[in-house]
Amino acid sequence: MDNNQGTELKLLDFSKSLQIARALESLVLRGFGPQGLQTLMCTSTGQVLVTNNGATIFNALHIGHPAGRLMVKAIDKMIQYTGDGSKTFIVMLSEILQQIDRKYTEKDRGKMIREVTHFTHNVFPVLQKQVLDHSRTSSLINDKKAFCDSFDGVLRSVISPHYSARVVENLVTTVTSSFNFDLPSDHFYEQVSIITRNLSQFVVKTVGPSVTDSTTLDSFIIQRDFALHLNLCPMEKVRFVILMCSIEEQVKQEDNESIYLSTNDSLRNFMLYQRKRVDKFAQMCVEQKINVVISSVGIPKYCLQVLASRNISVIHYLEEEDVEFLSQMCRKHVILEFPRVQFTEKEIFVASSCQRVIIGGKPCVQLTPCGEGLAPYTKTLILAAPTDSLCGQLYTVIHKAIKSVYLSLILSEGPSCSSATIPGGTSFELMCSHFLTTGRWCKSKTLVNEGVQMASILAGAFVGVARILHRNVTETTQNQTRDFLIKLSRVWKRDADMNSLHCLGFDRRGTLRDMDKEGVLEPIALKFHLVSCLMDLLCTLLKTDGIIGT
Amino acid sequence: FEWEPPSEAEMKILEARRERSDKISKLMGDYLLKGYKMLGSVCETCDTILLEDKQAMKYCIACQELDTDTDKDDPVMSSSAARSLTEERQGVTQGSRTFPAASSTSGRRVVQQPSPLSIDPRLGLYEEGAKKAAKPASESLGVWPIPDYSSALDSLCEKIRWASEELKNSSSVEYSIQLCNLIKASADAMQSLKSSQS
Repeated sequence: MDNNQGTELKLLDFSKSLQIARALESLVLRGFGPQGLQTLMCTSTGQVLVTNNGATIFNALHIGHPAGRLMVKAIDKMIQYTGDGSKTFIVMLSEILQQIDRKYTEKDRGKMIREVTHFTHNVFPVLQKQVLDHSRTSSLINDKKAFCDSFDGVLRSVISPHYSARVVENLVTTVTSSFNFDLPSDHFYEQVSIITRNLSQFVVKTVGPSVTDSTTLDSFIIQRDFALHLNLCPMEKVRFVILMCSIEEQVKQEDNESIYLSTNDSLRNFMLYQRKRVDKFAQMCVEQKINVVISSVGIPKYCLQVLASRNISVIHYLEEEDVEFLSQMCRKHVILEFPRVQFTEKEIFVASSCQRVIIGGKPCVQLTPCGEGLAPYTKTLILAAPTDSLCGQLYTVIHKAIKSVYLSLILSEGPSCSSATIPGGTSFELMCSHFLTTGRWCKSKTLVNEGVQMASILAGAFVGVARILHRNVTETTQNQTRDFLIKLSRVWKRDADMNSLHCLGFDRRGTLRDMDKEGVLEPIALKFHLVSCLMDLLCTLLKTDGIIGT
Repeated sequence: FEWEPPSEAEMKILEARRERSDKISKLMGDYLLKGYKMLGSVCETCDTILLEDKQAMKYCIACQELDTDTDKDDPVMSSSAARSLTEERQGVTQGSRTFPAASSTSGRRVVQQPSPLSIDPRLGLYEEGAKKAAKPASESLGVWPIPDYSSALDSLCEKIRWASEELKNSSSVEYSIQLCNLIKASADAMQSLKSSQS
């Protein structure tokens, strides 16, 4: 079948989808787990990238095949919400497609689609309930220590594939110290939410000798120096306004006003008028005790001199994102047009201190907003790495970790903030594979034949993830597969004996341990979302039997 | 419709196909890391997904890397592989002929013929390939003999007839595929001879 542009409709069979998934999987396989290796690649701009972040690797590839782009896009969408899980996603997709390719033909598409739909609606909720019954939940109010341990555990599990154990512990301590755990539940949840959505405003990247030089700094950091810095009285609070407009009047281009300024008189009158505006602005600041003016636009030198004569400090050329962020945090308004008489109360910000600091050799301004109605945040993260690109990668990892932590939080009525996590090291995968294989989810006799195939396929996929982690963390020997199968049978036997699902997983050396006690935790919401996205993508691929590619 | 489980030979073929597909995927991943682009089109020969390099040249991993690797070991495609397999076969047949007869009433030494199952019947094909490869060196030098098209055509016809008979009796998928290739090659050869004769 040809369309008007001359491209043909091509068949997308199981083997093609499998080939693409396998190709993508091969890129990230060795980077999976706490002992994962890095991938060195060169981007189209010539930049050298060293990373084992699955999403970063996939986005740097050139994929023109529609099915391949669909897979990468699905991973991207999932990562925007979860922050982590791209490698697990592609490994599971690859395992599922492999089993489908082996067991089914193209004629079974309809049957497979029904299986996936049935699994998503009937079997998956039962699995979720079973996992939730065995998850770890701790409340910020009632069990603060356990809550903090969960917090650390989630950070640890996300950061550990990227750095060594010592660096991981250092980063976990640093990131945790930037949160205030003494806040009430709803404020704490809001704090994490704000930091997750606006992490770029809370992070200052700096080049340093080592990642372990990363630290925190109180207050909000403006990555600009003072244009005008006058000594502020340390006892007084700092009152400041934020301008997103110019103090002087702008010449209107559309009226060709510049033509009218061609004579000396008109030009003189115009300059006098500008001077009056600046004087008026400065007078308003003095009358309302404004010490600092922060502006997103540049302030001309003569304006700075007028403000200096009134003892007003100035910071200009601020990023608009920083301006909007400060406005949201302090719940105040920025000034969008020149005020007529005076500033309103909503336009005046208050800070307990505003001083110059040097970070990574660059002068910045440390601002500590205060006052009622202030959104909860405490500190700025200073991330250090030997080079700019490593700094960027560190930022990506920390962002992933904080997103995962946010996903692990549940705000319930009370309000009460608690953390819902499950041990890492593929404990979730081993638990689910056993649950799906034993058929405990099937309690209804009428549903005995439905969903069995998909459950079996997914169980195999979960085992595949665990097998790959085991392979990456243990030494490559001839008996590696046999060792894995022995450990798997031990996990399943223990589950069968105790008639419950226990959370054994693989540690850094491939030993089976209770990962809860090891302090390696993963958010349950992340795992559930991953499986849900996987089923959606699988359904889309099964429903697609032809493509028009480039 | 009755479903029968695949035979051992078919299982081996399926396993070989999976391994080939896995190799292709692995190589594809390596090329993607090098900056190649995965296209939405497939190779016309082998149906593998095509890659495109930075100079916009299309590249098929299976045709240009994998199959060229295996062709050199395939006796049907490579004369040197055919020759080596024929030598192996001759070694096997000589070894089997030295075994004494299991029973001999007349006292004569009965030459035990090798059982059909002990020798790969495909070796007969390979021998033909080896014979083609083992041309005397003098043929490449000096005066070329006048080609005898009629005897060549007769040989080809005989070969096609023999291959057809073998195909009827064959139960092996691989052997059948090779017989088909032989028939096709012989037919092509006959076509060429007839066209050059005319």
